[in-house]
Amino acid sequence: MATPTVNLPGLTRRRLLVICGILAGTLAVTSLVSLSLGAVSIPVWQVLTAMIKWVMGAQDSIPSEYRLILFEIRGPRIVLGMLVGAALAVAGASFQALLRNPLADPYVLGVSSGAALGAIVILIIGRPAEPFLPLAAFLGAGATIAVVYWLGQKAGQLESNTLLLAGVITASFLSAVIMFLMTTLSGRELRGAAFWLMGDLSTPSPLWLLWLFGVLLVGAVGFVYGVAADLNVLLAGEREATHLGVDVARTKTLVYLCASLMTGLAVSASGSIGYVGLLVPHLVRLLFSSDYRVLIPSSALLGAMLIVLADTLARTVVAPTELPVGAVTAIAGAPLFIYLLRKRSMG
Amino acid sequence: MNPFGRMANASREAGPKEKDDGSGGSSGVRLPDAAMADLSVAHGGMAVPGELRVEVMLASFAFPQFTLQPLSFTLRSGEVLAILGPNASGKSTLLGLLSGILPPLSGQVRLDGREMSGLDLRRRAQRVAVVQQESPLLFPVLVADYVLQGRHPHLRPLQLETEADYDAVARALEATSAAHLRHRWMQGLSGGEKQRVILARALAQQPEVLLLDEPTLHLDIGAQVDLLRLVRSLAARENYAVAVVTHELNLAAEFADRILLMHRGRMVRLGPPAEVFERELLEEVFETELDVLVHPATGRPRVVLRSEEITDEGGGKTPLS
Repeated sequence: MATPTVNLPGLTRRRLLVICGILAGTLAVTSLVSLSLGAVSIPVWQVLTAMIKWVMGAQDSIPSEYRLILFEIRGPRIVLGMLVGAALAVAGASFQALLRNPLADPYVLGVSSGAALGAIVILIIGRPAEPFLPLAAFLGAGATIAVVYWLGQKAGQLESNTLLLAGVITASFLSAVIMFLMTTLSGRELRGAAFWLMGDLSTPSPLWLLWLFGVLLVGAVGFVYGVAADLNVLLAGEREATHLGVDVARTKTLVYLCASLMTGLAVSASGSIGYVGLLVPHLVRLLFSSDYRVLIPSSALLGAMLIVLADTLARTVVAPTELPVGAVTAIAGAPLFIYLLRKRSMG
Repeated sequence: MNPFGRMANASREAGPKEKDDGSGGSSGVRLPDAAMADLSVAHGGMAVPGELRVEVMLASFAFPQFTLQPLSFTLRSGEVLAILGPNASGKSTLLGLLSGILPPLSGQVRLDGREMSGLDLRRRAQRVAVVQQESPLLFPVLVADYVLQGRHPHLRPLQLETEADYDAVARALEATSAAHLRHRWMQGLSGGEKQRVILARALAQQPEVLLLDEPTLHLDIGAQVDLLRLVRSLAARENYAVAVVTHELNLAAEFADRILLMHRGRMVRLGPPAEVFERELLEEVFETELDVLVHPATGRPRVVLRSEEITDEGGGKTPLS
């Protein structure tokens, strides 16, 4: 029997590498520009020279003011932004598959608020921030998604609109609880708590925390990437996925834990930055592919890039003061959410 | 080999009744109790030439509100078995047992001698494909990508599809006459086209057993006939063992080799269409007044609603009554 020729849009290793290469390149350029911009602007070639010297170990030959700005102020902040952006974007893509809902996002579903509540409780009971704060944020994220998942069911079926509504209501409820708790805080702590509500990268993070964050993030993204093909099938429906050989319960548990961990990490480091988890996976679907084997790594890279970009805007547009980065992402993300919602309800 | 070659003789007047080994116990039985159904009709009337694929041995299942009584039958390669019955008669539960997602409460369901529900999910999906009413698709997906999902059980984690996988997809699309749809979006297809693509995904799994749950629901009559004719010819050509759950009595009579009739969680009859389509039996099972006719060309039975006039005229057109 002659095999009919078809030109199917196949995913090849080369295509995957090209996509990731493009995104990684864009991320590198964005980071370079971000390093050079600020209250003191440093020419890009100076930034490059300094970075090469730093990598070569010749740190003493870098002018001291550049060294301070690049490697102790802007550098860690950019790295943190990348980690937060990647975590939120992959968490968003994961929640979209887990809940079979294209509008799922840690912020919209209230997961970020849950994580913020966990973090604020730690602030209030006065425990040391590390390691309790990220842990509480993770638990808050996990508990919230469990509640939203439960509320979003109708007669045992996960119903798309009910789920979104459950998420929005949960987010609003948790924000109210957070507001209530904030009245008990003193002035200095209040500033810290406000930070959880809007999302902010300006608080410097210790280096070891960045490392821990990075390692956990790579692990979580790796686990989700390992079941990326299963997620493609899972989107078509859980019973169908079972018939196509996917262990649905195991896959969902794994993705649920990883997505909650990523959200918890991001929120504990930067407060609740909204809409990244919604915006980034949709951009990737639009630009490249909706195959989760492309979507997971691309979302990580594009999410990192967008947060670095948003944070650069946040700290330069109204200099010398700063916007919270969450305000920037919300201004871009909320209209997109409305657009997607309307497009879906009309389609 | 070709199941078309063995034509069921539907009418007692039309010709001598075909008698095969094992069918004797079922004739004349009206809604037998579970034990009768289990033991006497286990092999359902005829020796189908294909290889034994699925054996259901006194398998039962119970939900809080519903019990599927123990039943036994076999499914062979190359045959089409239609599972008929009114709503809530246990058809879908039976399909759940056949596909392995429901482990039997008692008894066994075996695929080539091994317990179906105990098989590794991926290995089972390499051999058993299920077509059912599709969950709504929330993300836009291309037909080609959708059919490619059928290759999922054949791929290791993180392994990308190879030429062989794309060939399987191309052949599946070709077999279902859906190759021209491959660049279209699933959401934009008509009901008949969509059902063919869903079937193509199942074929891309390259299974041995094909289970279909009401594949003709929401299709117009032309699309229904097209789909079942396709399934019929695929079973013959590719040697699939096919079980179809359906409400379409007449299509089942036309396209199935054997029919399994369910009623209130029991298997009440198993055999070729002519044996199952007895007026009293169908009337009792479906709780409505029916007549059974014989198709003049194929000799297969047909069910029609009983019309007052026909009955009054003395049943000239109802030879089976």
